[in-house]
This record gives sequence, C-alpha cells and structure tokens, in this order.
Amino acid sequence: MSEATATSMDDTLLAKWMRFANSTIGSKMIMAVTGMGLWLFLVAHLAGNLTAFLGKDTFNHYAEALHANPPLLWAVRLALLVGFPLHIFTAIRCAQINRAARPVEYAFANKTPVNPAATTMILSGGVVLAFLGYHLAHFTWRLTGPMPEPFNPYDMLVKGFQQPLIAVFYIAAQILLAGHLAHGLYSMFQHLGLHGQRWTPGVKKFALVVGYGLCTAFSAVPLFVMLGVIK
Amino acid sequence: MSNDKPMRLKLHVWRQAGPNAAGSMKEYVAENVNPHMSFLEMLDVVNDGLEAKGEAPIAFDHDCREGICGMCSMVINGVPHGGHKGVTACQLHMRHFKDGDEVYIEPWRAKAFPVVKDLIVDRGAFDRIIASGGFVSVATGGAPDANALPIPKRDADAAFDAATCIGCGACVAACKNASASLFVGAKVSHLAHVPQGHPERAERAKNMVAQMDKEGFGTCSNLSQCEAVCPKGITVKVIAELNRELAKAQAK
Repeated sequence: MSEATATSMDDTLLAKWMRFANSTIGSKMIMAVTGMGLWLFLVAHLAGNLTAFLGKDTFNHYAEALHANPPLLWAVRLALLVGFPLHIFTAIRCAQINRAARPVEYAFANKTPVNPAATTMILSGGVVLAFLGYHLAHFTWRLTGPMPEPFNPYDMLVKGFQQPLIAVFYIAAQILLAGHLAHGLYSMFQHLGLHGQRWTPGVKKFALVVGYGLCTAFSAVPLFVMLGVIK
Repeated sequence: MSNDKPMRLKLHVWRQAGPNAAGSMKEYVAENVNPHMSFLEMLDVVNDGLEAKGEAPIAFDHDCREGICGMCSMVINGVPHGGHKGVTACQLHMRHFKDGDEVYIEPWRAKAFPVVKDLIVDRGAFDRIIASGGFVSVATGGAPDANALPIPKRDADAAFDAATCIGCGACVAACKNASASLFVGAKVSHLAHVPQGHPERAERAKNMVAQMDKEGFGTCSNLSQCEAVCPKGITVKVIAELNRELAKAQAK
C-alpha cells in the first residue's frame, strides 16, 4: 500500500486513534460529537429556564434541586469542561487548515450560492463564546449585574433582564446561536456519515426548526421579563 | 432564429509565466465572438489574435472538449466551469454571454493545485490520492459472465453515480475551504458499493483520506458548494459515505 500511510503491526491503539483525530474527517467528527453534547446540554438548560414561566417558587425549587445534586451538576460541568474546549480548539485547527488550503484568493468573488450562517460558524461561535463568558459572570459567578437582597435565583433573573441592555444582549446572542445550531445540527449528521436521499432534506428542515426554535424559546425568558409578564 | 450577431467581450485573465513566477490579472478584448462558440473556442480565437501579435497565448488545459475528460479547469466569473448545471467549461456556450460583458477567468485556486502556467494547474494531487487507494482484487482469467456476480440495482446505480466523477477538480475550486471531500467521496463511494471493491475497502478509505490530508486540502464545512458546481451532478451524499467508510475502517 502507499508508503505515505504505511502502518506497522506494532501500531498502538492510541496512535491509531490519535491519527484519526488528527485527520480532517476525524476532526470534523470530533466537532460533530462535541457539538451534539453541547446541543443536548442546551436542551436541558432550556427546560430549566422555562420553569421561570411557572412562577417564582417552581423556578427556585428547580435551582435548589439542581444544586442539591452535586454529582449530577459536576458530571455535566466536567463533560462541558472537556467537550467545550475540544469543540473550540478543533474548530480553530480546522479554520487554520482551511485557510492554508487556499493561499491565493480569487480575484472575482466566489459566486457559488451558500447559506450565510454556514460560512460564519467560527464567527458566530466566537461571539457566542464571548456571550458565555458574560453569562457565567452574571448568573453563575454573580460578578456583574443587579443582585436581589436577600438572594434568590428567580429575582436575580428578573432583576437582570429588567435592564434592557442585558436582555437585548442575551437575545442578540441567541440569534447568532440559532444560525450556528441550524447549520451545526445538519452538519452533525453529514459528518457522522448519516445521509439518506429521502430523509436528509427533512434533517435540514429539522435543523432549521430546532436551531431557531430553541433560540426563540431561550429568548422568550428575557423578552417576557421586559414585557412585564415574568416579574 | 437565434441571435448570431458577433459579440465583443472584455476578458480579465490570470497570466502567470511559470510555477514560481508572479501572476496577475490581465485585460483582453475578445472580438467577433460567435454565440455558438464554446468558451474554449472563444479563447482559441483570442489566442490566435495574441499569436498574430507575437504575444504568448493564454495557456489552458483542455482535451476532449465534450465534457467527459475533466481536463478543462477554469473559474469563470467566480464559478468553476461557469456555473451552468452539468457542464464543463468546454461545454459552456457563448450564447450565455451578452455583448459587452466583462468576464473574469482564473485558474483553480488551492494549495494542493499549484499553478503551472496561466490557467493550467497541477492536479497531480488527485492522481496521488487515487494511487494511495491501492489495487482492487480481481480474478484473472476469462471475462466472467455479466450475470455471474449479481449486484442489487440500487448499489449498481449508486456506484455508477459516483463513478461519473471525471476528476476535474471543480469541487475543490468552488469550496470555501478548498476541500477535496467530494472527489475522494466519489472515489471511495464508487468502490464501496460493489463487491469488487470490498476486500480493500477499509484500507482504501484510510489511505485515501490520509493522502488527501497530506496534499493540503481543507476540511468539509457542509456548504455543498462542490455539489452546486460538479459537472457530473455528484451530490454530497458521497461525502457522508466517505465519512461513514472512514469511521467503519477506524473501528476495525
């Protein structure tokens, strides 16, 4: 076989998987799997958020129940602490490979039609990451934003989103995240080799609906606080 | 009657004397362009004019001029092969242009496809990927009967669809990332669908992907730009199949 890729018999399992992870296709599979994990986390996160619509007590009980279960909380946090950096670093590595793959640009801009959300994944991802930093500083570490006295999670949420600037920032981040998810969800299937003539068009629609739907639902909380429905 | 009035076009063409020479876009005027000409015939006429003036003609790859060999390779107004469905540059007719149009003509742009001269690029990277795929086990001897090895119609169709790839490289040229996924996908999918390709299936996927990466092609971002420009209508289904083949090979 080709000498470039000759594999010796004593090739370790680790070396085999490292080579796979380093390949362009392996990298994109890492993106897909970590992306799927992050997506599942968002779904669970959203379910928790929506309890805000059920009133102060339900929301505070949910927050308490979450923190009363450290193994679950830390299992999720640990998964995020591994999966998120992996997703980000692999994305940066792929972007570097891609930039190197075309050293001379076309004089006439490429007119092949594309989905704009799909070409700006690294940009939307970067902005969402910056948002995440703010979001953690706000609600997890409580370093910024108005805090209620005495403290309870529900009032922290309401007080925060009653500031229009904070609420609008959250909603804007959701719009970018929606585009990222809509392309990412379809991409996930493709990278994992799941394609069918009959159902792939459905997957694309599903990705759009779920991507934008998820972010609309996320935006509903700050929006309804601003409208005075959640107070 | 179609309009046979000759046209006058303003061309912007990438001129580069050699692999290491600096290149630039140069302007030319194409006079007396007949709408029935193919794009390459239009360039032939421009070249006749350049030669008559003692200038070097525009170098471009071409061979069969009937859309089956995959030699012609030029990005026309930002789109490989000019952007008409199912045609290569040689099959693109000048009737799609209007008198006075400005046309930008550039070579495929990719690190893995270095410019040889003007519009000609070295697509040896594709040949090396094919070679890395290795051999296909065949039983020697007399030709077997066509019905000796039954292949389901669906599989035969899928293999044939992938096998229509002419290796022109438009997929790489169109891709934002200069990725060769569609090409490699077509080659891997083609043999993975038929029993003749099964014995070396896993090794083929691994080696072709390793060679693709080594050549310096980009990653796939699922933008389907390749599918949009493929003159043979190969779809991104083959990229999913390539990914699946590699994953299966890895698990072995």
